[in-house]
Amino acid sequence: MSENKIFIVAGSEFVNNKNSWQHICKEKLNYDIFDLTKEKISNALISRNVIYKVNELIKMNYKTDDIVVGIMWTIPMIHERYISDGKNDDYMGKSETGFTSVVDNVKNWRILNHDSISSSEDCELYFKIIYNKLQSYVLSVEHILRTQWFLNKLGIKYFMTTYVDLFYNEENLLKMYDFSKLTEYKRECYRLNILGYNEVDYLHDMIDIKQFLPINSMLDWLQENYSVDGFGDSEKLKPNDFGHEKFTTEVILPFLKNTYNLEPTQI
Amino acid sequence: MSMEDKIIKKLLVTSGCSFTDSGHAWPYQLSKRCDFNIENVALPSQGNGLISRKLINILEKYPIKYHSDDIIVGVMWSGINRYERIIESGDEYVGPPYLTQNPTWVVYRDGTKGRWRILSHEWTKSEDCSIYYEIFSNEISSMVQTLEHILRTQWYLEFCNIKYFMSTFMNIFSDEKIMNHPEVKYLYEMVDFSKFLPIEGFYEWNKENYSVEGFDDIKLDWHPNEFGNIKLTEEIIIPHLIKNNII
Repeated sequence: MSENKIFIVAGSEFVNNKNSWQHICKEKLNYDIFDLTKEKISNALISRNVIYKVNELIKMNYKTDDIVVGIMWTIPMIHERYISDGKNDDYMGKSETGFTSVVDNVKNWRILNHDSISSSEDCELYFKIIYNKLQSYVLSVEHILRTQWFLNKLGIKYFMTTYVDLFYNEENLLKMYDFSKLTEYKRECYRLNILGYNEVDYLHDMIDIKQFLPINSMLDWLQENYSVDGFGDSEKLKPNDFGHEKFTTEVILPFLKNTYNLEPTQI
Repeated sequence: MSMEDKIIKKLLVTSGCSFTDSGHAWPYQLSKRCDFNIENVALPSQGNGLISRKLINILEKYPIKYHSDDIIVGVMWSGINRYERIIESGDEYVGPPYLTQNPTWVVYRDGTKGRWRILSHEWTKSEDCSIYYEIFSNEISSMVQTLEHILRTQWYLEFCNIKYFMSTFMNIFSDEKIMNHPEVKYLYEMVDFSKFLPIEGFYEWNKENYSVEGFDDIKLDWHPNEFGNIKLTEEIIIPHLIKNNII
């Protein structure tokens, strides 16, 4: 068992880069890191990865007090299916990167991504026949809540955030300018007026917002504060190294200091 | 009965499938014997996702405020291979004649017929059912989903400090190959089985103890009858609740 403290990180979009926020956090805090971030995985798999890893560390006698978890939830329109024979499955088809794991190194979960509907037969069938946007939100909030109650029960320090603001709220209409940076397709995909759906609002009300970083989303925060220097692309959707650095030092680390009195050891 | 009288009584909230739904089922036997007010959100054929969602929703949205000490929850989980999906209005009814609600609701008394369509591996005539069971459903992911529904419910009830007990309609944890699978095992080990009734499953218990009197005709219908439900309540549930200081 390491004597160092552990930083477990999970998430999907724009986080699997050696200069992204979790690695800056790790350096500043001087923690060991379990980086569970993976490109384009679903909120179900983000949740499963966190619960599995925390559970494993506790079984290895790590102290819950020595663990910090950071999660950046992704859009609800990414789903997954379990395939027992993994890469040998006929549906694998064209997407070599479509499999990922929950249990260490067992890649049996295939990603079904709304951005790649035509990539394979199963993905196309899922989004044409089974998928429903409202249900995707229900499932995502349930994954958030399950993870929240699991971490709370163990008394583990954690923070959550999202890459895009998932829960568009009519009361926040003034913030709509942020969405103007997104394409029309993505605006429609990402947004859900939660006030209009009883199926989601009671779940959303149970989210412990105190555990979320005090921003709408990483994308919103960067577009608002570093719209010129914080992005590496003309659409201003992908944070660059400077954006990650600012997000870490101005949002995450102050949150950890204010919430858990965790001080960076290397600034 | 006045509102004050109602609040003096404890509230029993139950959820499950057909084993919990009928008018003679164990929730009603228990509420009668313990003088509880009762809200039962069970429905035939619904899977564990809906069982969990309906339970959490009614506890969050119940119009009369009870202190958590005055609520007792009972859940009887169903088969792992039942699923559900939200549909847009206009989709046709799917399922057997005995199923009165499909689609069904999750949100308590929201005044609609509901958005959630129950999918069963037994009714694969519709396109969504057929595709779901042909391509997307398998025993490992079904068990992962069921255990996540159980754990979400367990952790929610613990967080709310609500006393509860759980059981299963049949023994859904009997397949060692599934339960020892690495995607499943770590979840299964987190389930608090001290909160489960000390039986394998209602069906197995009834068959072992009351194979004749406990069913109307086991060859035609494997649901326990009124006698079986009374016996489960008196011989298993009430002793379990007393032993665990729930009543």
